[in-house]
Amino acid sequence: MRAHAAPETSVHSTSHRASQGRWGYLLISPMMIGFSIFFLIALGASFVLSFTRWDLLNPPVFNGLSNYRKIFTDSTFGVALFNTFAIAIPHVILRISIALGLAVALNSKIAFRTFYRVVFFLPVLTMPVATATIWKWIFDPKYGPLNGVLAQAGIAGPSWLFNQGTAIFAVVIVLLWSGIGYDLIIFLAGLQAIPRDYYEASALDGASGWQQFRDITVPLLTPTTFFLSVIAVIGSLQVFDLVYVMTRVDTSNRLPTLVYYIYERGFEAGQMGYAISVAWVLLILILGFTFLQFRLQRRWVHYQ
Amino acid sequence: MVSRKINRRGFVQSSAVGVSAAMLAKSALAQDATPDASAVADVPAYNGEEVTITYGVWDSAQQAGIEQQIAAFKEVQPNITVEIQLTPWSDYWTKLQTAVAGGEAFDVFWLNSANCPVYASAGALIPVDSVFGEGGLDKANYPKQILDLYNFEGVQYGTPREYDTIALFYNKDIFDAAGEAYPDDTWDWDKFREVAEKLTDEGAGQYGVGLNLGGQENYTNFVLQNEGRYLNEELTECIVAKDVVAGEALQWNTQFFLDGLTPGPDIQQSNPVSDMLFPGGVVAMLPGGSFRAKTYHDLGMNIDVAPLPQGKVRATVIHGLGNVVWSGSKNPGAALEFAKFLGGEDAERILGESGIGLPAYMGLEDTWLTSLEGMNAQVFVDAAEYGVIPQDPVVGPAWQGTLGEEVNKGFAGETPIDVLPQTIEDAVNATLQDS
Amino acid sequence: MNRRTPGWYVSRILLHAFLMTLAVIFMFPFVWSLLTSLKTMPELFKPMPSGSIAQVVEYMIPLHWRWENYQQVFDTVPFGTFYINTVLVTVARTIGGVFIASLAAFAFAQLQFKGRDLIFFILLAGLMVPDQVLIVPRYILMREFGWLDTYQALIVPLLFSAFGAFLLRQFFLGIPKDFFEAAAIEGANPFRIYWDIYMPLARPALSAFGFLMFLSSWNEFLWALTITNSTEMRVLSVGIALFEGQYNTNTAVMLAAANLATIPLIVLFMFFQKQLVEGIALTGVKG
Repeated sequence: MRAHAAPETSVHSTSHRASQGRWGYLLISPMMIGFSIFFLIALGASFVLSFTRWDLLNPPVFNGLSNYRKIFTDSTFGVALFNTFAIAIPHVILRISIALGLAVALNSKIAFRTFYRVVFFLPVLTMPVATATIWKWIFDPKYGPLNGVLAQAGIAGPSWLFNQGTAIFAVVIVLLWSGIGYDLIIFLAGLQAIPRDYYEASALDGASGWQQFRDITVPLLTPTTFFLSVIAVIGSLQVFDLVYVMTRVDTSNRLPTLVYYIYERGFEAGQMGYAISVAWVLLILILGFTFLQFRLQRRWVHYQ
Repeated sequence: MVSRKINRRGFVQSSAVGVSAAMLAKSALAQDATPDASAVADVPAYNGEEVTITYGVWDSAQQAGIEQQIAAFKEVQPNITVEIQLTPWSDYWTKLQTAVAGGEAFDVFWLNSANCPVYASAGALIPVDSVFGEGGLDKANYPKQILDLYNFEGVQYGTPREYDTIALFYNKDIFDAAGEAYPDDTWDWDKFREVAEKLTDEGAGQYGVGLNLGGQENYTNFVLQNEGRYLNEELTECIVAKDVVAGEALQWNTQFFLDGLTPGPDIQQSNPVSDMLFPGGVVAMLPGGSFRAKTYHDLGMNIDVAPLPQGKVRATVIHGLGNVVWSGSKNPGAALEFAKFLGGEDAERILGESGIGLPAYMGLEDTWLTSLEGMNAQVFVDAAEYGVIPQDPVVGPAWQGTLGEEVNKGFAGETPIDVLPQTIEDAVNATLQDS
Repeated sequence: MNRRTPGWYVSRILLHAFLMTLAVIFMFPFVWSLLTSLKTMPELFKPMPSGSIAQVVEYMIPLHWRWENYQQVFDTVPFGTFYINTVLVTVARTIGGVFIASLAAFAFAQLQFKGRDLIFFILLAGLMVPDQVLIVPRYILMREFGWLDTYQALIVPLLFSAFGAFLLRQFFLGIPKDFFEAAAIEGANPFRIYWDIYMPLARPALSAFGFLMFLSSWNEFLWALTITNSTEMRVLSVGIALFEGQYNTNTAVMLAAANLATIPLIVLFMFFQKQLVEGIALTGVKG
């Protein structure tokens, strides 16, 4: 294992540390000022509004904790919560592992490397509207090519996007398809940052390709892997657009997720106050998971 | 020392955020969305000064026609500049709600009749009564129901633009191949069902009928024809099961799905009958809106249209689109002038000639019919006579979402047909109480 | 590379077979989108005959190649204006966004200051709230600023990428502290160290983030939809959605518009991914 803990040595004088502190605040200030104005203020306002009854058109009316109380007895919230996790868990695991495998394969001197990179990235470039249109067609129970192929094999394919179980499967497939290219790029950038001489040294020691992957690539890539898994969890728990377009039938949705529910309550049911309180519950949930991930990173993430 | 300084700065910063957040929330809380009627009544008349107003619409296909209307308006009111603000249909309502809540919306905009009670009751619209009578427009020029679409509690909130009714489209080629006579005005429910069965050929992948999953172009018409209604007189309670006839109509409609005479919701999830399967030629008949006539006509297929088959009575849903004025407009006088112009003969003629919508102005139907040469589109105009306005309570269309969702569970066979009316009633009542 | 045994060849062939299968799946929707964009209206409505792969292929190929669909995109809406707006806004967001995020990331990764980790964690919360619930307060804010329907509103609020700060922080954490220490002892201030040492070292990460930011900005929809109204201020993503009608959508024309918006990105990506490879040579510094 070549990764080692960050050296704890530093320049110890107090004035140096104080100056570092000032520089720290200075360098983060553009980000934090913008962040405060354009995000924190709106977030604060939303916090206040989460204690109101508000249909957007009429003035909000303060109604205490009743929005939050209602969440606990709201069965649709429960369904949305379940669907969200049923999508998020397989999505995060598969996405990271497939992207990592592809990145390592495409970082080697393999033939058609450029072609593969472009092709795997194509879905990320495709406009969401095109993505949804085509995948809906692929999964169509009667006129879609997927069930067409299955029928050739004598299998009667299901109504993929109509039934909860198969819809979760279909949505995870499309999320993977459209997101792997994204992670691939970040993994490739992470691989570039691993110094070449580590590999050269271990090759001299007679390490095999697999050993190099296990002892150098995986550990030194952990900061990137950590980043991608945090982002994947945050993103998966907020999955919306794609599910909305793919599983909606007339005015209802066959696979409501949390953010779909927030949107539907806020903009279609005229309950923006309640929608915002659900969003706050979601925020706390995601914060919890992210905090946990940061806590656990000490056990597996190696910074140089 | 240093750290204390930083703490103070951190404190100042975070409290600044807190203060502005509170202000923002307060600004949302204090939005003056409910001006009282008296304030609204005296909108200062437009005084001829140079102003620019915005016009919110959602259909890019109509942009050219709208530009023509604006050009014609410029000749009447040279000092008012109108800027078209186009929003994609699927995001129009989200955007409109955000803009109204955010305190800066379009001066004049399209509103469909289903949303009129919601916006009117929230005080988001300026009454347009003043543009009628002495104001210039004559109410006698519009069918009464169409004026009523934008009438809320006796006050007129919109000038009529276009309306739509439902009739039965059919694919002549499929009828010819089966040697079946085309639908006509003698058809009733039994005849409709009988022909649907005859024309359904599962092996060939052909459906006798394509029933939409939404109410407007499907089941609401049949509920009305069975003299049923969804809500009680006060619009406070769903009576689909209590008032047996509504439930009966829904069950009759659902049976088409259960018997495979129409593509089911799972197929229509990606291939809606009116957008795909009927123009695709695998569906023989389609109850559909006048707004589809132009597209079907231009396809060059053998498609014609007949009145909807009748139940106990003749009835169809009538629905419309009007031009309304936002109550927060900075130039309400000019905005009213424009809304008035849009309801007048010149603007309505331009709309009719574009072929996209059926103008609300009586006597201009021919402009629309001419653009549909060869199709018996007159049935849509005739249907206005027995058109019924769907009821919409001020709590908004959320209950309709619940209704649609429950009806679709019946179509999918997820709710047994015998308990369907009761299930719908309970679910809709829950939504009405929640709103 | 040094062990080309028969086993090596077999594994390579298997790997390529796998990657090629994936590649076909990954390309399929894009090819479909290109082909469908050339169909005529009546053809768009034809349901696919469910059956053999040959039938699927036959179904996908337009009977009459209707190139006019692309002309129609420009005839229906001012697509050229949308292009210019999108390029302008995207370039501004990307340049500003990479600079701001990398500055913050450097500080979060390499400098010691009080509350650092807490501030960083709060920043991450920016990624955790669905935009839908913030849109009204933000709209009010923009109205207060008088920014509705302006380039400022399209650019400024989206300059602050918590995603970028986090991504780059991870990369900066991977750069050994010795670099910082050495430069600090020579008297360089942290900004100089950031600019002269860390930025060049992080080139692969910076270009990856820059590209991803470019991309997400190019496709960004909700914000652009909400705070712009006039046609002159619209961007491509909103422009494409305008082709969707309430009752009738010409999917071919809409896909033509989507393809027109995507093709420059593909060209850009081909160039960018080469940069990423070349990054190896430039930054092959000893760790």
